[in-house]
Amino acid sequence: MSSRKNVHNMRYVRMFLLQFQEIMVQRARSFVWFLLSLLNPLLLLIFWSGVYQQKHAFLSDWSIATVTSYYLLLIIASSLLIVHIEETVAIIDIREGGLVKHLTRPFSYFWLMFINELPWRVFQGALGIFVFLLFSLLFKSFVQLSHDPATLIVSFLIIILAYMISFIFKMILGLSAFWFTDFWGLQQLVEVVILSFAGFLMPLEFYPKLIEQIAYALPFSYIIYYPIIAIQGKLLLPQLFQVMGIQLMWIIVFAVIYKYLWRKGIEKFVGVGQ
Amino acid sequence: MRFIRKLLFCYNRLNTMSIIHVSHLTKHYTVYKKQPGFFGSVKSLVSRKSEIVKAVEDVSFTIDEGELVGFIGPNGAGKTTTLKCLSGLLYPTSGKVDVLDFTPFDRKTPFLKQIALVMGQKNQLWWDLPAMETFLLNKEIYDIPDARFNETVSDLATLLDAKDTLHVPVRKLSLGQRMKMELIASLIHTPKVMFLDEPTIGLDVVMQKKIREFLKGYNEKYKATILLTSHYMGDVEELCKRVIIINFGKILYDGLLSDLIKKHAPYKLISVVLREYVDPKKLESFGTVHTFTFPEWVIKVKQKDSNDIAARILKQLPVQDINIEDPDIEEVIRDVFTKKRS
Amino acid sequence: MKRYVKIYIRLLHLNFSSLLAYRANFVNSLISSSVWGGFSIISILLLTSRSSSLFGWSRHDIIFLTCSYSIIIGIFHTFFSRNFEHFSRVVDLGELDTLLIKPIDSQFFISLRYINYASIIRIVVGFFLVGYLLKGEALSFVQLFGYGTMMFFGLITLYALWYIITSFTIWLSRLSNIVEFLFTITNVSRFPPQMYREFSWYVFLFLFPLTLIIATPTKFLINKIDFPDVLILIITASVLFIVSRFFWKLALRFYTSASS
Repeated sequence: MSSRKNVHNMRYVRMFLLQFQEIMVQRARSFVWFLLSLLNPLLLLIFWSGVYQQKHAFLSDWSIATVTSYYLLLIIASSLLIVHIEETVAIIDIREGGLVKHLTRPFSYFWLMFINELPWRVFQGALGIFVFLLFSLLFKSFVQLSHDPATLIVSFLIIILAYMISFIFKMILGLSAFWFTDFWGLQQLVEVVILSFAGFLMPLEFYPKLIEQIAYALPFSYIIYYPIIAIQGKLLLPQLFQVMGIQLMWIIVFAVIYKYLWRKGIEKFVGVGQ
Repeated sequence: MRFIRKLLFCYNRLNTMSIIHVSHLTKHYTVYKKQPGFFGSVKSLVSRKSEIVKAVEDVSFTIDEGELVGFIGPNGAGKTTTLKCLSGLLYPTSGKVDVLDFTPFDRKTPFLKQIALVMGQKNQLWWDLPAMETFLLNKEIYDIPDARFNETVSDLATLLDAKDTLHVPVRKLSLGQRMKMELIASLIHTPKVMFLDEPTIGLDVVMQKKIREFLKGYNEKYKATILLTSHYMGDVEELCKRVIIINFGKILYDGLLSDLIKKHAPYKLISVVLREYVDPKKLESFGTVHTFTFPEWVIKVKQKDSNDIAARILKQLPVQDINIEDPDIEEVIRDVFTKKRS
Repeated sequence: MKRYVKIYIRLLHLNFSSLLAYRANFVNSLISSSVWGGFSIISILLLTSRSSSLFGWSRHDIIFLTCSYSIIIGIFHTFFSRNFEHFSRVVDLGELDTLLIKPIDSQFFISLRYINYASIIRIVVGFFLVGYLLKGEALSFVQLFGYGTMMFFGLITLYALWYIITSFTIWLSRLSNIVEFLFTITNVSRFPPQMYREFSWYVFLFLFPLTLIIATPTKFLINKIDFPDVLILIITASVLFIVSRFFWKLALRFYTSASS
């Protein structure tokens, strides 16, 4: 019994490596994707460095160093934590019917997609970390991270939970193609919402109060913003656990929604014969 | 001095009678190879092995106006490459190409207005709109006056039996109907020279016949020069009096199809249906037995003897039905390939 | 040439018919354009919410800049963007062969074949906002003429940059996502040029053409224009356009020598 599971797990490992191979083949393309997550934070950094030239501090506990670290960590966060699986699910599998071959296989579609996406995120995240390390070596004074081991360990857990929220959410978005012909419109709308409320534009604290509150109520801040400020050491331990709690809540909510939509979607898919 | 000038003039005139003139055309490509597997991919980050593919090697031929020539060869023989060199899409490695007195590669507007290239799977029709819309766009691109445009569309649609699908959105058409529309779109400017790459590929038998009939009709009506590549014998048999056989980038045969058969396979097949059983040994005296499954029997005989032998068979054997056939062209051509290779 | 005008009018027809035939696509595009248009304006409002002036521009002027961005990018997306998105398919799927066979300039046809009418909404919204911000203040003829002309040269500059970079996909056909990169880097033009100059001369020089395309036309609107600005944009646009043509011819030479 256990040997069968081993074989099963080996298949996942092999799939993971296969994806990595694909990344190597498409290395130029992968690099361009990375450049995308690099450009906007850099652009905003240029903006803020100009703003800080004029005033001493924008917000009391955000020095230019803190802001710089924020955007550098944002490069890592956006390449590592923003999942792009929804297009594969919606277009290739649902719209074009590639889903059929997955239904006959003994793998869970969810975990198959998970294994397919992970190498890309790891690769891009690694590039982000490389850029971060490069910058820290060149401009030591501008990088601000927490040095407390407990904070770092809990932050690491927060990052993992953030990835899960991101993944399940994007899978749900992909499933919308079961019912929507206007998938692209919806996808662009979601992308802009995430850009606005996950902390891509600026630290959420900089927003006007009302918008800030909305951002904290939505799950997106728990994918990008909170992991970043956790690593920066801006949260105390109890607050970190609070963040984890809310993240777990979102994971459970999304998991339930996903399971429900998957069942309903498959019924429709198989019933109609796409 | 006058004599030399006269000679040059005659030489020129000889050349201008031919529409297509290819002389020592050669085309080589560089292809990069990568080793398979994970480590192969990592290795390819640093170094890649390159290899030169000799697609076309010292090819020469001449085609006159109004000819319908078939370019036959297996996949990768160099047919498509030659066609692309003739239409100006590829820059030859060496050699000279003249079409309608133009150098195709210059892609001058007056040249492009007189040629057409139709490649099997590539399409130019706008997917959501009726084919007519694409025709109207091509009308503007080729600068065709209204009256001539209407006449051409009508003629082509009639020849292809496609008048009722001109205004149907392309995505709603079947593959065969779409092919017809693609053909019309490519011929809206009534080109003098047509290059067709595998025109009947992927089509059903009925459609293939339709397209062949159309091409024959077009060739007769517009006196257009047509050069088509194919690996379907049906295309060749029905359309081309002259064939150019190419393999591994080299021309193996250039001449009439009937001559090819006479030269390489000067035999005929006599197929007989017998009324009663006959001892196979007796049948062998008439000719080489090709197949024998009672009551059907096929023998191979020399072309010049076929009538005599057929008469003898009718006299001496209990024959229900008899037929004299030409050899299968596919077999003949395959023989040409294997002979030339050895 | 008159033929090209007729061809373009026909293309306008075809794209419009396409829009009517496939309305779901149009709705998608409309949502996309509105959402991104709104975001580009609101994001600048948020970024500048606590400053009254930045980089030598008042907040009011920076908002003008963003509205100009909406108009100019709206025009760019309407007439050009879809063609760039389609570009990689042209190369990969061999559509380029079909194009080169036709007696039409390939750069013209590739650049202008598809039109995205949905992006007009960004142009309209941009104009409305500019009108609102002017608060009834009339613009002089010089301002309007200058704005229009500089907008034209700004568009040429942006077009040429996109075309040069997209042409690279002929050599590196895997880089089809380079268009996404271009969308992102165009964001550079939303900010005042001084922002880059203050940060680093190297960055400013590197991004130089992009910093002009929106800023220079806007300077006419806010009456801060200098003659050198006008000259620099015109020269930049012309040089880049010539380079784009030269580069494209180079790319075609490669394609026609090496494709199989």
